[in-house]
Amino acid sequence: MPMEDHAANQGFALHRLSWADFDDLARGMGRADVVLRLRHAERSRRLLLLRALVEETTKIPELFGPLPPSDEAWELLARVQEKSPSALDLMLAHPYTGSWAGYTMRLLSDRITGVCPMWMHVGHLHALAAAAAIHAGLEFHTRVPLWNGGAMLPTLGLARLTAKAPWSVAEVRSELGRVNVSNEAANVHLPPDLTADAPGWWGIQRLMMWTNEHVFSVRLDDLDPYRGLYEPVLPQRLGPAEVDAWRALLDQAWRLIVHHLPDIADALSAGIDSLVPRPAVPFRMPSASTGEAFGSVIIARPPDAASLAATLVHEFQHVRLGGLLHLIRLHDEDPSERFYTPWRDDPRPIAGVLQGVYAFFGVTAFWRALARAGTKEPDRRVVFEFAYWREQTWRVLCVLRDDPVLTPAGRRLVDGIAERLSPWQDEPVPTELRALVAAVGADHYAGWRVRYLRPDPRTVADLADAWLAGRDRPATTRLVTDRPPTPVPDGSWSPARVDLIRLSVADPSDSRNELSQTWSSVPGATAADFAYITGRFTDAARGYRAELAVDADRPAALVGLGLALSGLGVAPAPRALLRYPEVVRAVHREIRVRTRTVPVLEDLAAWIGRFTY
Amino acid sequence: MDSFSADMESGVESELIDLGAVSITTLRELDDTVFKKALQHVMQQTANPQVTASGSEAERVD
Repeated sequence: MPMEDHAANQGFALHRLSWADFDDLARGMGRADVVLRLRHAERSRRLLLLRALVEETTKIPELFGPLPPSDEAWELLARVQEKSPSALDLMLAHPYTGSWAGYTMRLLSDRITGVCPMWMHVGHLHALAAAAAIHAGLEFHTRVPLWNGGAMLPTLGLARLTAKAPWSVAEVRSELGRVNVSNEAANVHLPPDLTADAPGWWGIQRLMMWTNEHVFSVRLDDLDPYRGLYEPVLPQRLGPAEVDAWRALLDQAWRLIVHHLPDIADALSAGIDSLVPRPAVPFRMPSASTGEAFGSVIIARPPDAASLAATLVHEFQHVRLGGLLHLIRLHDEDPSERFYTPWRDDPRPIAGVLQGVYAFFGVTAFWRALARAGTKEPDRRVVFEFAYWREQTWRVLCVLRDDPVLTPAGRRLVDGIAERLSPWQDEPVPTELRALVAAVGADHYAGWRVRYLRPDPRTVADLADAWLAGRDRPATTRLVTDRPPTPVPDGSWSPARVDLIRLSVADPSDSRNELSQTWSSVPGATAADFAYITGRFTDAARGYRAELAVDADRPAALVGLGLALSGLGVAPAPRALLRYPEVVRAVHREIRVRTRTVPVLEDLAAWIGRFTY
Repeated sequence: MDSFSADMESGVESELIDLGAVSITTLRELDDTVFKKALQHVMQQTANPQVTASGSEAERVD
């Protein structure tokens, strides 16, 4: 269809979303056409950014340094569109076209230089135009940025030349069906199959996963400089074995998604087209995405396919919510970091909380579907993850839904999530796993409180006075603080106990025996943690007391003692240690400072916890 | 100011203009008020990009 300028003549249509589409997203349903509508809006957004960028740089031609002016790139893009509109669309849909445009616009707006000289960043426009022209099969000639000898052709690959300077220029020439990238020191012929490696060329591999009629196709992008979160990054090429490992994991993960969440499979495939692989991190599953790179997910290599499937669903939720947020404001601006979330150790602003609730709602749906699949007894780990995420996500949603900063649309989104998440809270889960979920939740929340909440100094002083005078704890003293969390943590935290619990849940056969061999490999785990996880609460309490004798302020030991005492059925010390650990620690400190003696922490906690419910 | 308008009948309408039928060549020439407003809107959005990172203790993963 030829491009017509009816928009200019007849007025512009605005991107819209019906309430049916909006509610489909809110409820985490999987209509692929809704995701494609978000993609269509992203295309317009990126065109606007391209136009803005060219307009800005045209005013100052020297911004392009040794590269041609922006007009040349624009003309090449126009030729691409004329010959092959789909080649232009491909480049506009490329996630890192969005992140590059956003990053470079910020540099221009703030009048600062980024990781590279400005001409390298603005000049990336030529690399995009060249790559689009190669897709279109055009004959052309242009110059592109060369970073540490690498000339990136987005979506295609990286030509590796020799260059003395960190930032220089390469020529790209396409004629008679051949493409060459060269500088004064080297000449690289691009291979006929651009996804394959060749001398001087690293191709971006596309992995295709098929399950029944559902296809998931992603570029494994370890090259594009704009694939990161904040700043441009150099290539981090995967070896063949790593690519094979990713392929196998993605194949299995896709099978899990298609079998267990068939309703969202096609939408997820429409929403994710690029995966930035990162090295595995033991016991952690780092993953990330940005609104500007719609379609891209950054994922550290997970230990198994189920973890990868859960992470893909998680990031897909972020991707589609990011697209929605480019169209609709869901909350007013409020950067204050005032919320507790179980998935981060630090206080979060409302923007992060909304993203987290939506992402972990998707994660809950995945583990729930897996837990309900088949007729045999479900895997304990799967049920644990379902029970954990449903409860934690619901806990945060209940706080979020009443927040005045949400717009009506934001409230509608949260209500849509709640509509599905609420009934899941009542689904049966074995008592033993429910208890583990409760313990993990209490552990993390207490750890957050002790590090980020500062009790009222008057409360601390009153309690210290009463303790030192040998009086009962004043029943009227209010332990709850109205103060917002501080952004600076008071002490460090260790997720070792939850890591150990996950290990024990994953291997139910003889977890104590198995854990005795492996617990010390868990970062930050102590003997007291191991004792606690294996139900030896007396040993655990003794271990935490020993840790506190060395460092009376250590948050993980303080909370660990509360958990161990709770396991022993002791009251009321655990109530104070788990619900108001920040008060216990602050009063303990105050007494230490005043008397230069160290009161027994458990006695103090029991005294404070006496009127705590 | 809200960045969208909404009513129960029609759903939500963004400030993002649909450029699906606008050619690259024409895009360069557009200059009317609605276009400029949309341009300004996306420029403002770039000032505060949405970034989400999890599972890494808030560490950057790039």
